[in-house]
Amino acid sequence: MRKYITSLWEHSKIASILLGIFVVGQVFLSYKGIEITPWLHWGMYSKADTQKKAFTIYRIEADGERVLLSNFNDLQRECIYSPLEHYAYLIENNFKEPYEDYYISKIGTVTKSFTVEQAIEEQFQKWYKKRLSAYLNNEVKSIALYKVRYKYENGRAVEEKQKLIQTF
Amino acid sequence: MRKLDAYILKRMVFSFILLDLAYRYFSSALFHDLSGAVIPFTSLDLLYIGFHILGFPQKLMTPPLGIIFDLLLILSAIISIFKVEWRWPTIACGLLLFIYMIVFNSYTNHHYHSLIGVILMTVPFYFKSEKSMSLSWQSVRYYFIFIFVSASLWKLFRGAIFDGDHMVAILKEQHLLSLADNSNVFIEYLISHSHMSQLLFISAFTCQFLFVFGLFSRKFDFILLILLLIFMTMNLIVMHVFSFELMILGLTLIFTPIVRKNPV
Repeated sequence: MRKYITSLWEHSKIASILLGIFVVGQVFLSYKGIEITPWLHWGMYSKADTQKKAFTIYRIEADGERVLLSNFNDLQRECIYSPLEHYAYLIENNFKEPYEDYYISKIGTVTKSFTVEQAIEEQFQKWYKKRLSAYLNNEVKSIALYKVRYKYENGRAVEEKQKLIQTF
Repeated sequence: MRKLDAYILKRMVFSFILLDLAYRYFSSALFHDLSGAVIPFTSLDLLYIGFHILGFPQKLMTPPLGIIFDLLLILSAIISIFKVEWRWPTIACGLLLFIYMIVFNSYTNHHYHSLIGVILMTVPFYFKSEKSMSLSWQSVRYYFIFIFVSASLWKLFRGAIFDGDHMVAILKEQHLLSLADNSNVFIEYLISHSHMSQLLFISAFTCQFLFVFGLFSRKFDFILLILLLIFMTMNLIVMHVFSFELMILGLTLIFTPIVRKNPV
C-alpha cells in the first residue's frame, strides 16, 4: 500500500488529496453513522431489531388477483414493490417524507424540489397502473393496496391481519 | 497478478456492462420504461438531494429525454467495445451510468449500490498513459477491498456479530415478501435455528474481514477472489441477493492492465 500511495503522490497531487479526503470522510461518517453518499456507506445488514415480533409488508392486488412478487426477477421486484411501499408510507403520513423532520430540525426547512406533494397522487396512480400492466402483460384496471401484518411461528410467516390502504 | 492488454480488459468490462444493460432492458428497468414516474426518494443522501435540486432527474422521467438517455447509454457501451482506442465514449458511459444509478434508485425508491461496481470499472479506461491507468486500476482494487472491510467493520462496531439473534432478525425482514408468497424450507429452518443462522452471519463477517489482508499485499489476491466467489454464492443462497454488478470488481484481483504499442 505504501508503494501505491507514494506512486500516487508522485503522479498526481490532486488524486492523492482526494484520496486523503475520502479516507478522513469515511472515518468521520462511519463514526457518526451518517449515510451521505452511496460511495461511502457499506453498513447494510449490520443493524436489526431483534425484539421485533410483528412484521409488515404490502400486498398488491391487480383486478382482484394477488400479485405474486416471487414470479419476478430482483430488478422487476424492486420496480414493482419499492415505489408502492414508499407511496403507501406517504399516504399513511399525509405525504410527509420520512426525513423531513430531520431536515427541518437541522436546517429549518426542506427544499420543495425533493419533497412530494399530495397533488401528484393521481399522476403516480396512473403511472403505476401502466407499469404494473406492462409487468403483468395484461391491462390492469384497478389496484388494491393492503398492509399486511405477519408474525413468525417456528420459522414460518403467519398472517395476522390485513388492512386495505387504498384502491385506485 | 497477471498483466493483460488494457484493450482486452476494456472489452471485457464493457461487454459486461452491455450484458447488464440488456438485463435491465429486458427487466423494463431503463428510463424509457420508467418514464412518467413522479415520486422520488432521496432519503438523507446528499448526493441524491443535490441531483434533485438541480432538477434533471425529473426531466429524465419524461418520454423523449428518457429514450434519448437510454440510447446514449447503450451506444456509449457498444462504441467502447468496438472502438477501444476512443476514450470519450468510455467517459460518457461512466458518467451516464452514474446518472442512471442515482435517478433509477430515486424513482424505484430503493438506494441499491450494486451498480457502483460497473461504474468504477470504467474509470481506469478514462486515461491514456499506462501509469494513470495502472494507478486508477489499483485505486479501484483498493476501493473494492474497502467495500468488504467496511461492511465487516460496521457489523463489528454495531455489535451485530455478538448478538445471537441478529441473523434471524435479518432473515425475517429479508424474506418476508417471498415467504408470504411461498414456503421455503431452508429459510424457515434458518429462522427457527438461530445458532445456525448466526454461524452463517459470523462466517460472512469473517469472509469480508479477511479482505483486510488485501490492503497490505497483493499476494493474497487469488485467495480473496475465492472468498469473493464463496461470499457471493452464499449471499445468493441465504439472502437471495445476487450482486453480480459488484463481481466485475473481482477483475482487479486477477489482472493488471498494460498498454501495448500494437494493441490487440
